[in-house]
Amino acid sequence: MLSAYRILDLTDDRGHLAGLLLAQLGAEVILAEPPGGHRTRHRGPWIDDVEGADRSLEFQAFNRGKESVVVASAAELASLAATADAVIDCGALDDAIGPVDLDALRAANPALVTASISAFGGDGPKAEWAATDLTVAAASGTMSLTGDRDRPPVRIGPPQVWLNAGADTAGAVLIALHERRRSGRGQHIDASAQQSFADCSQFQLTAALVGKPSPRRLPGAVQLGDYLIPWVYECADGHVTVTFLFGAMVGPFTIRLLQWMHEEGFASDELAAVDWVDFGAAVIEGRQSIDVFDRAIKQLQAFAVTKTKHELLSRALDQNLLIAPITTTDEVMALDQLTERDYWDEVEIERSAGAETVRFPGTAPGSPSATPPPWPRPPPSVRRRRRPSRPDPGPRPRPMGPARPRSAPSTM
Amino acid sequence: MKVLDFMWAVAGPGATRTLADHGATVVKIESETKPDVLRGANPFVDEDGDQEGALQFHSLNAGKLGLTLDLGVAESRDVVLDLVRWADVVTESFSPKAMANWNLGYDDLRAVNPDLIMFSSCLMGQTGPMRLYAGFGTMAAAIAGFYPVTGWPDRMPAGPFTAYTDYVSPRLSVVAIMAALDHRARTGEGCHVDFAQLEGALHFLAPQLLDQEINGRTAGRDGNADRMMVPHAVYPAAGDDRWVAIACETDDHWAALATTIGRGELADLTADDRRARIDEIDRAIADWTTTREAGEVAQALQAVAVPAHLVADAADTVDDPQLRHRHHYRQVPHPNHGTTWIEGPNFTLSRTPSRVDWGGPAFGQHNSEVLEEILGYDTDRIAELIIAGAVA
Repeated sequence: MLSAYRILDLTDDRGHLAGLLLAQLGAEVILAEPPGGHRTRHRGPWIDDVEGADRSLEFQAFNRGKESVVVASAAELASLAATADAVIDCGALDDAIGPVDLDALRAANPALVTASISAFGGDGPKAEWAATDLTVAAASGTMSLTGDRDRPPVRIGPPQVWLNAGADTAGAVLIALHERRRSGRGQHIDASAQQSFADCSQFQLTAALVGKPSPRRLPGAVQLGDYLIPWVYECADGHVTVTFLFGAMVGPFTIRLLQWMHEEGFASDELAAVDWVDFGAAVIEGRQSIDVFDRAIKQLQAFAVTKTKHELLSRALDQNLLIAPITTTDEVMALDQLTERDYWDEVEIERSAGAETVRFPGTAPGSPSATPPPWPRPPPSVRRRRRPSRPDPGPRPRPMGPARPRSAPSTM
Repeated sequence: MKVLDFMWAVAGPGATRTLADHGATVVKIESETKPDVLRGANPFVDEDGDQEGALQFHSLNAGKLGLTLDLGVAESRDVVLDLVRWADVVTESFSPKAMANWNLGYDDLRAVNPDLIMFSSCLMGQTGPMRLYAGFGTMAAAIAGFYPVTGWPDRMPAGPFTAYTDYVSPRLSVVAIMAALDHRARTGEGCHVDFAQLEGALHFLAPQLLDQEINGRTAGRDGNADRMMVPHAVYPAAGDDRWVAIACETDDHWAALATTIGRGELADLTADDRRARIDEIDRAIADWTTTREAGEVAQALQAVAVPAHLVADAADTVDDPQLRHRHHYRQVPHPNHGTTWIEGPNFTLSRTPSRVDWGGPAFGQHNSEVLEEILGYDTDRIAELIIAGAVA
């Protein structure tokens, strides 16, 4: 779909996803790497657990479909940018060739769209702050909402903040290219990972704008007033989430679930007869006791451990219940839904025992019916770069400091 | 760009909000009998707690034109089809059978607007054995695999708290819609985009899925530990439930941190050394942080270029000088409440900056604008629609 565009991708893990999304939709994406490769190449886990610049799974995951070019000077970069439609930067080349002057690239190629992905945005009091996924997750507020209350707040385990910013940036690049069709001119995009990730807070943060107390973190539970309602339940072979609440929206689901539990001897006649749609009002008006809900939760806990994820999901699909298995990566790879939708891309990679086809997350975003994206293409190898580089990637590049976006415009 | 938007709740409307911010005319169809579920969601702009005051609704629908239309009334169909003829893009986020049941499936819409782009978003996609699986983004986050990797190894999975895929999806949806529009501009071809929120979100766990596929390793959870960086944790600060996140990405970061906390004798430890002695190191850091304000710790460490930030709660983010500088939270006018709060866009464009002039539309706020100015209906036609109960 986007085959008309050439995207110059200067990013490491702080922006890889932006270029991947555009490549998946057909854009020509050239990954410009410093001598020795992006830092992502030097981070595990590895293919077959064997370290190597072409074996980082993080690099593989986010760079397939891109071509790789080693850039050793600002002049080389400028010549690449002269023929590009968009440049996406996150400061990953700064140590190798000095800060990339995106304004100068646009001056030389006025139709060029440039984008900076940074932790806090291109301006403001924290624009120069050192940052990682962990500290941006902390700054975004989202971390304050996650984790057990007797332990420190936690991040989502695998790094997420740069992925959110990268996805936002891919959309912003397409918006700017759309605008260019009219004006003929490029412009600069200034993306803030802190803002992209704050956006994931389920708007709990906005409570503070209207004088409400800051919500506290939750360990697999939801809070209703002072009341913590479990969200995660143990089942026979792991865990499931059950949206087990009362009220107009969710009450009907709770009624159906209790009826099933009742059939199987886990909910008393009394519990199975409760009107969970009306239950909240009934408690407030003294017609019901919240203890009834407590008893229902205990029954659900006892019931869930007798069922497997598969049994719970099958019933959820059949009877429209709000139950979702807490799915582990092996179970995700085995989901019929994904197989039947032909989701996975079969990509040939070099393994220790030779070339082998493996499955990568596929068709995203969306699968337009008119033109399937030109997949699969394997990730670029250091050996298949267009320009000569050292056969051995050499010493590990010093991990980069925080993104230091240059020449970003002031806020609107 | 003209968008006819049937989307509701979170995962869909976030995408059309971004389009509206950047100049698209977005007509949001809503029914007074079945309002957007977000209208009832906390927090509200004031104590009234009425359905025009929900902040989530405002953030996700700011700058859209609101048209109240009862799709159950036969006369509504002609209005919808006129809007389909007007639109470049039709978006919907119902369960896969809903639009078809209204005879508003892609083929129906394409019949009146052959180069239309239709964007459908749902949890599992329009096809497959789980296509009708409906529910919240928390459920897609569980099925996508975000729960087992979040929390502590000796505890139940904590989950990412939020309906995480609801917030990932809009970003990916914008990419899909803009790519389809670009394709149409080049070829004249419209298309139907089948966006599965699960499938989009799996890209955010791609390295873990490859580790499973290639190495057979199932991803687990390990608090805040990182594979490469050490120390890498959240430490207690002075006060009630106050915390600060600190990450050492390089030996230089560690040396600066060790010196700052008065443990210069540890400054030369390599990452492997630090990993081997992590309990001792975490204790040394916590001893230093626990008597200091979280913000003060972050400032002191940033002064020596060590990545650190207080774990911001809601009040901290509202007070954060950086988010304030970036106008992340902003006030916009509202017809009933005077003003309301919305979150800003996450990125800025230098030459054609985004613009947000109002919050989520009040019921029927733009009915006349849409019917008269966009569709060119005269007053008789509009009166007929009101009498029929199609338009409130």
